Amino acid sequence: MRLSGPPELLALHGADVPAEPDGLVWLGDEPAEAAGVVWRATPGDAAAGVRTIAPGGAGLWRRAPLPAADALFGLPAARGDAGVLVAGGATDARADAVAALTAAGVEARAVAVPAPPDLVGAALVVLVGTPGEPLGALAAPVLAAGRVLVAPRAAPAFGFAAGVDHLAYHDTDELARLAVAAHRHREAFAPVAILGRVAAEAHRASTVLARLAADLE
Amino acid sequence: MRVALLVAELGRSGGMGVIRDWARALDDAVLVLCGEAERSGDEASGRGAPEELDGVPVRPLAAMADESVDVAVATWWTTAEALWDVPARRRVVLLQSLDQRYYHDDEPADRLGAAAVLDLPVGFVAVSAHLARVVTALRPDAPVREVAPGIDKAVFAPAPPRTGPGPLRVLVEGQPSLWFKGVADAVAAVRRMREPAAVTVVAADPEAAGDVGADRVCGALSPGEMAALYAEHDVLLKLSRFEGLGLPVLEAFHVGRPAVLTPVGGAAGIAEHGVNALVVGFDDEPGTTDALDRLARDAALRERLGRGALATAARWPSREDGAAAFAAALRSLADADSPALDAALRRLAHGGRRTVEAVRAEEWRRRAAEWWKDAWRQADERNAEYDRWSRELRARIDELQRRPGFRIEEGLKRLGRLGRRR
Repeated sequence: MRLSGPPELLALHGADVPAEPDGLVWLGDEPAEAAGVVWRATPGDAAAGVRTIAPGGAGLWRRAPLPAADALFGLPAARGDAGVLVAGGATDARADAVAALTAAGVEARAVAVPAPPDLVGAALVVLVGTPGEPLGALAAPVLAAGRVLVAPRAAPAFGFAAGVDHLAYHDTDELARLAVAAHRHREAFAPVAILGRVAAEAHRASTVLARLAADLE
Repeated sequence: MRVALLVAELGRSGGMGVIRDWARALDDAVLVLCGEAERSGDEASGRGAPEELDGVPVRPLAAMADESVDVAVATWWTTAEALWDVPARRRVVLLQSLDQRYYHDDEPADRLGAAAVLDLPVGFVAVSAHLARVVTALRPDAPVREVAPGIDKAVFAPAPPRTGPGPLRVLVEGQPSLWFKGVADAVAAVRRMREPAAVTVVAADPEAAGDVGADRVCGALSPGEMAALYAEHDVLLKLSRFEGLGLPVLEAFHVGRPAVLTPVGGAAGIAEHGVNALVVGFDDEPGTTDALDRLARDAALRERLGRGALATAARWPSREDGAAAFAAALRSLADADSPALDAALRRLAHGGRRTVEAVRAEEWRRRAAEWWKDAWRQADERNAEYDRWSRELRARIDELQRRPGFRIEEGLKRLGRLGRRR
């Protein structure tokens, strides 16, 4: 099995797998080369003749969010001055989330797709998205990094439990309330991040990709 | 060593089975009924509390106030509050699961109550490496011992797999009314299969199973009956959202049956994909059905995984070994230093803050839901009012149009229009 995809996605979702010339697994929605398996970051239907993995869609070979890169499990705990990061979703939605947090007295920075250094600098990550949709691809990497995750209430949640290993919101008001509470009382919410990292183990890239390789044999 | 095991029930759940086994093997143990069970006795039998169970005395909590023990063990989160009602040299929490996972996030009181047990100044006994890791991560200051419940190897013995053709016989274990067991998802996965299959659901309380859509529902079985049930099937299907350990997987392995299961923490290091099981992702409907179809089509795969299951089972401790390890763990915790009080109190204090914030968030959610409900009701009332006005207006117009004067006036207008055209 060979793993390929955009570098920013490989940094968040990849792992060192024994490279073999055959059986390309592409991480991302738009494969740049012919792949035996396409693992989409967002929900979408299966491409004709290609084994497609996605968090939702028709004709899928597997339904799953992108895994969490092994390296993220080793990130150190957030520093005392670490801030709030808003990620995922559309630019407008991220701006709305940042505005809601600012109005509640918490400064936040927004990025579309966080790089590992962005996660190092954050104590809490807010994922922007629509409640009721499958849990976003960024959730597992954020939890693997040991950061408190505030995400839209998701269905399916792929084994994660809202209120136990992450915090889930219905709307922007709730997003701001949860994020502010978790940011202001970091030690109180530290167990949520610890349990998040434990839950993310089920999505550890090397484990999940090894299973995938066995299924492709 | 005198041990008081604080229990919330005396029923037939897998967790209670482990406690009964371990209590029986201790030199001097007492089962202490706490909470509702103390008041109502043994609900499972519909009678008052028995004097003893499997030779182990049973006492209500109130009877233990003056009876000191070496170790008091809470076995479920609701029994932890009684730990300090029993005079004990050491206090221990036995973790067979993460109890907070039993509750949805709209049940914050139970969920946070269950989570708070992990903050107590006690020692912990965890039934799996996964649970031990969780406790160590959350409470690096607390003493933790890992004890795997053993399997009765005489009862759960290898049974030959079927050799003839026929539909894949799938056994789903779990109480359907417990949301995290994923029983409905499991039955649905079987129903989506391309290959022929039959599915049995086995539950602790089959009466409460409801209509799960299985070919057969059974339950409340003795260990021997469970072993026979595994032997009748080709594969165990478990799509739990979490399991502290997952004893049914180990029981099936001992009988020589592989499992299709989700990557629950408790199965880590036990279920190996392609060795003794097929591990499928959480909520992965197509992947689960694909795994079952592969097993249905490929007898050699079933046989290979069955052999792997037996190899894993051979390494697993026996029932006697498990009970002896539990006794040793309690002795070790009794002889260890007292748990660090300050660290636990600090955790409890911060846990209190988390409770406040979580309950506050739930209140906001409920208030917002009430606001929307009220807005909907007002809009509905306003609509009804407009509807009434509209109907009254229509009736008034109809009434006016029926008056002779109106008809004469309309007739004259028509004549006038005709005259102008001519």
